[in-house]
Amino acid sequence: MSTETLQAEMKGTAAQPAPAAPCAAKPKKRKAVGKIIGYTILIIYCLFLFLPMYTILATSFTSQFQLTSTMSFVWWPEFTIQPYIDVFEQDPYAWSNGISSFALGFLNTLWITLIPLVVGLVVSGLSAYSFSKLEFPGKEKLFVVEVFMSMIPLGAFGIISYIFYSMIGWTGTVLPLIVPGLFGSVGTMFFLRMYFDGVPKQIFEAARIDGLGQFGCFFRMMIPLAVPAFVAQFIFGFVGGYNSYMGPLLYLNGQDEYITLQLFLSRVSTVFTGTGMENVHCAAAVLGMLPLIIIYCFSQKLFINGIAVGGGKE
Amino acid sequence: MTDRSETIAAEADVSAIEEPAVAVRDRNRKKKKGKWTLQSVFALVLALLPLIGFVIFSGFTLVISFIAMFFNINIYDLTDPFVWNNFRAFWLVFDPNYYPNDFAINVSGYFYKSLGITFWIACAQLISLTIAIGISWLLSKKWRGSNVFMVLFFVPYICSGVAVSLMWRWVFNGNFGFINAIFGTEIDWLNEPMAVPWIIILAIVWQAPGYGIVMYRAAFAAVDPALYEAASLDGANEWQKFRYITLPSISPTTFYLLIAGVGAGLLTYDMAALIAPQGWGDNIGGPENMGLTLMRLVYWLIGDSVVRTEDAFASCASVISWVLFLFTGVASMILFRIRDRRMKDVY
Repeated sequence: MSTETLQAEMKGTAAQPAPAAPCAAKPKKRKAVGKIIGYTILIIYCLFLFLPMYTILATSFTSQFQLTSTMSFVWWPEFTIQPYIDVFEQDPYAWSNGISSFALGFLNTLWITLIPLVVGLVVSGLSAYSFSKLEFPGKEKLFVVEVFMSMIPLGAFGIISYIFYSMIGWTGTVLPLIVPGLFGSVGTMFFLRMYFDGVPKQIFEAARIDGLGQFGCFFRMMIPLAVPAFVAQFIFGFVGGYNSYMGPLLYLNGQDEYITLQLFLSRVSTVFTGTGMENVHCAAAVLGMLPLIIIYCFSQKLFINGIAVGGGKE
Repeated sequence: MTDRSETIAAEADVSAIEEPAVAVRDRNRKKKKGKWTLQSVFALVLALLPLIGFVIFSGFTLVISFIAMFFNINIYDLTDPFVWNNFRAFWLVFDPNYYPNDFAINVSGYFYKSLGITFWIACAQLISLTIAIGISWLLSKKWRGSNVFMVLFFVPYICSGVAVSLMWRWVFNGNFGFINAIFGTEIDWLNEPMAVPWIIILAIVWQAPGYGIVMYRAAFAAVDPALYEAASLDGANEWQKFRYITLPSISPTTFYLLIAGVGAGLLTYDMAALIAPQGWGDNIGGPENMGLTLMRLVYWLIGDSVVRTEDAFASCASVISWVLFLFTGVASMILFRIRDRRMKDVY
């Protein structure tokens, strides 16, 4: 299953003539009414999604003076970008790290997310390559065991794993957020293997005969051939890592030098609530959402097709 | 095993007599298959990597939390001897009438309260699913602009739970809230115990359907158009077509989303913890604990066991984690079972 097949499928249905187009006048009228009702529902749902977003956007451009003098929701603020400057200047961690906590949180989020994600993808890819293109005894049995294990819903142990990490002395460090990811994941491996199986084995044999090693086959042939699969997994890994809150909160244990963006956001909301600086916390929330939304704007096709193909990840 | 693969290889040889070069290569490969060479060991190690990570990090967590149910452990100093707790953690969690003298906190009270709230939050996934089906049905009509709507509807899914919670807190803010501004009320929603679970559910329902809508797009596109044509010839109306053709055709996607959604709902943490943060005293889950989910209770118990190392808090947290694990496991098993039965009905 590739993105192309999917798109072709969608286009195929789009090109199909609309079902039920008998030219009687009465159904046509009913169809128009149905269309109006349908659009109304879609627009109401749009309002439900975007009115709340508008409220924080509006407040994030409201000055503190206007906010405290009206003491109610301001629909059309007198435009100011001071709240956005305050996100950097009014540090909720009292400048304990020397640089703006927002910037620090953003940078920390990037490396804490990207290192395990990229290494994990390569490792899962190697594992999938081994299952798909190499031979060893008991291969299919091992595959079944791995996939079965990955189906056990272990999310419930997300917090209690703190006991294990404190036992090996990893709490208060970034290790619990990074090291488990370095081993890749069975889910990703499973998905990549399905993709790899679609690539004919013969081209790798040809490359082997021409003197390319197994790693060369993987890095110089399989990865370029399977770019869409890796991109789909990367996007959802990145969205999940960027947005994750519970893990950093639990393991970082108030170590301020490792704060992530989401920890910064939650800190802002506790520190600035009730001080008349809610505009700053709205601005922080907008800034926090902005990077992913910008990426999404430029690559919505990748996101939407990736989720339909890869099933996404939580 | 080796014998069989060799006979297969031999058979392959017989069938490939016309192409000697390929046959020789084929035979060499097939001969390697059943044997341990340096290369096959290497392949096995590569294949095992994700499993190794899984065994180390999930396996040990499972084992230690299992032990922790029955022993009082000091989670910061594991060299302390484990003390057999005589099933005390189970009594503390499950029996509302068990009040030992040295234990000031009513764990079972919190447990049953959070159980109910977690249940309702998990049920909210049905609302998300209904919205996702309805909206993607409308989008599947391929009216003008349906792709733009699709792109817009997916936006909430990429927003972080923290930002979404801040957003809804702001919408329901007592002074500056948008809701109070529209309805002219002056209710402090976030401190209203009855309102808190609904705000959490609203925030989840705001975020969750985007994923379902995208998943359903492919499912709706895969429904055989010939079925619709046949139905219209038979005089079926839109509702009948939806009920008897669309719904059964998309049911695999529906069950997948239901399993994933209910699982995620049972493990709700971010939204609940940020919309109803811990208050003073007994209000560990917001006003009157109405925002207390099971995950939050586990988090709170673990957090407190840091302070009170001698107590059975880590044990209680382990017991609740295992209960939650059973719930998620049973929920997905029931849904798998229903799905299998449904599949038999359909085909």
